[in-house]
Amino acid sequence: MEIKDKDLKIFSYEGTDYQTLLTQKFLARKKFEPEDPTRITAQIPGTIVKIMVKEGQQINPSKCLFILEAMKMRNRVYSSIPGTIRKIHIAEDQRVSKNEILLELDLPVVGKKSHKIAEKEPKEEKAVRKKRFGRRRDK
Amino acid sequence: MSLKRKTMELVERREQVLLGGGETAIKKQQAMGKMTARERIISLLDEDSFQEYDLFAQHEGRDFDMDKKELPGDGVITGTGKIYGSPVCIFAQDFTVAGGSLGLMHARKITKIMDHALKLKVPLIGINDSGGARVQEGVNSLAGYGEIFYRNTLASGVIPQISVILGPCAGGAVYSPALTDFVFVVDKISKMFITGPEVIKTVLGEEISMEDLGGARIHSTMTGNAHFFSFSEQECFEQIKTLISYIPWNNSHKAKRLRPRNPKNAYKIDDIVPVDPKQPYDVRNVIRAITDSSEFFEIMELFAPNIVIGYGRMNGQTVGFIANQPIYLAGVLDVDSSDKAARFIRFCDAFNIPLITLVDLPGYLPGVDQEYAGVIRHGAKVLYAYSEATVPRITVILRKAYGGGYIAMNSRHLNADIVFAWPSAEIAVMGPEGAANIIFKKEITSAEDPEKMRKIKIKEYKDKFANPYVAAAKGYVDAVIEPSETRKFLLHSLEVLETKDVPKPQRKHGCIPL
Repeated sequence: MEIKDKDLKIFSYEGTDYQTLLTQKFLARKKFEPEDPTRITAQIPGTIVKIMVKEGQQINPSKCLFILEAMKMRNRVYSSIPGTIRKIHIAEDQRVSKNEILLELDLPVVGKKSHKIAEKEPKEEKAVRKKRFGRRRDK
Repeated sequence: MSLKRKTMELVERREQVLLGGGETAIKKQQAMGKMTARERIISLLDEDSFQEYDLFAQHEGRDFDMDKKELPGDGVITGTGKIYGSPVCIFAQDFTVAGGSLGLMHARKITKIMDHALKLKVPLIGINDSGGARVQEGVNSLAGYGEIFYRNTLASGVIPQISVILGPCAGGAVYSPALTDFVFVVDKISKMFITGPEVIKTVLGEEISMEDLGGARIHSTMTGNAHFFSFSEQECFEQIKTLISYIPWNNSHKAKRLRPRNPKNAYKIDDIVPVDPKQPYDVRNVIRAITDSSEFFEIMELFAPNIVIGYGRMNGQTVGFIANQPIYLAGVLDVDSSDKAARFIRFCDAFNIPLITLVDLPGYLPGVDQEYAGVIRHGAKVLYAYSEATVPRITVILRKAYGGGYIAMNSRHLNADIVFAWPSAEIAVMGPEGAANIIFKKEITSAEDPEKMRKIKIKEYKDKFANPYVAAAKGYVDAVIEPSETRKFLLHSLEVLETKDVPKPQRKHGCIPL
């Protein structure tokens, strides 16, 4: 194999600059990005069956945001943090691909208590819960 | 009926079956740019050396009107033959008969020839061209696959197993080739995947062509599932023949010895490797400078090119070469190159092929993707494979051998038999730049001109440690040799190691980190 100088790249390793070719796989490697909990993305491609929240709504991690149907399973999707829905990028019956941004959140303002207060459960959900588990017994 | 008439009947019967799926199906096969199964066997084997078994096998499908169908040979041709005079067992799926689909009798024919290969202790070659399981035969075809996988595993390390993918090979069918030692693919003809584009589309909504999902190129460059890539079936058969010439019939034989020949004069070993460890060169030229007739038969050329593996001959005897390739990624070890090297080392060890390792690497490839992909687990395979190998193991350190990479590349510490180093070798924990930055950190940062001080300290470290003599003083390197003496010393070493006999600890099998 003839090595052409113009194709050689600098490959820096522990302070030493080696002249070498880079492989396709190396160039195509996935760069690391820290996870951003305010951007909710599709972990699996599928269809949005139902959206349970509105823009501007405050939510808790216990609040189901929407249902994503994939691999014949209806997956309930939650946020890992409390916050306010800034933008909903999806509509019901929409097909989504993997890693597509579905929903964006604003972080709660520190000091405001409002997010810690549990939201009112929608009537239908409450009814279902009651039917299944009986009345919640608060102390 | 006289014997003559009976013989006539045989000839007639034969002629019918020999046509396989009939003229229309054969034309279809040719339109796809493919040979028929029978043509393939004839082109691969020595002339007139094929002896067929089970020509008149009948399929056992009874449901869905299958009993009314005639499937000549049940879609697979099996038998024995010779390649360069060496015996082999072979089967070739016939796509012209029910799409080469695998039913019970089809599988029985394959397992029969596999058992035969294991009994005769000769290599097994399987030519795959099949639409998959014969759905009409239901669980019987699944049983067939399982019985093939089981035999692939039993035969592993006893006889060489070669898979040739010359058509579709999808679903469970891919696991027989995956269990074998060498997989050959041909551009635009071979297709391998577990779930095809259709399933991926319906389940995941992702659209991809068959070629992009599991074509020959993908398996040769991305996945590492294929070992040999070619542009035509004929070229593929030449590759198989060459491979057969390099490997032994079975694990109690040695590869056939050819007449010793000198390397070609075109490869001047003194001029190939630049002294500056930062400069690249093609390590395959170093191999060609020391092998008989300067021949080197490379395996997995397109996958993880930062390590080179393959066969050459020394004094007529097959040797397996493993070499870091500085033209790619400076020759680092990473997930893919570790897998590639480790598997090759184990094959050579199983089949009595001595190993020569040429070292020139800065260490392991850094990166989040590498760590996440399990470079620890994959890198461990190289250490394991070298350490357990009992065939003669010789190392030549050409230039840089730093850190963990030095240990992994068949170092003395992994019980290499003989370790040579060229005068250009640098055996150290890391390159001079990195080492100076750590050892002389205080001196450099507190100096008036840190850059000048850094340069002085790098030079100081280089002069003291960037050489083979520190390791030679400890006995970690057996001899520092001139590059031009390499072949001479290797030939001598291979000769004295011929009687090498290492007892192994009693165990069922080791637990290589997979």
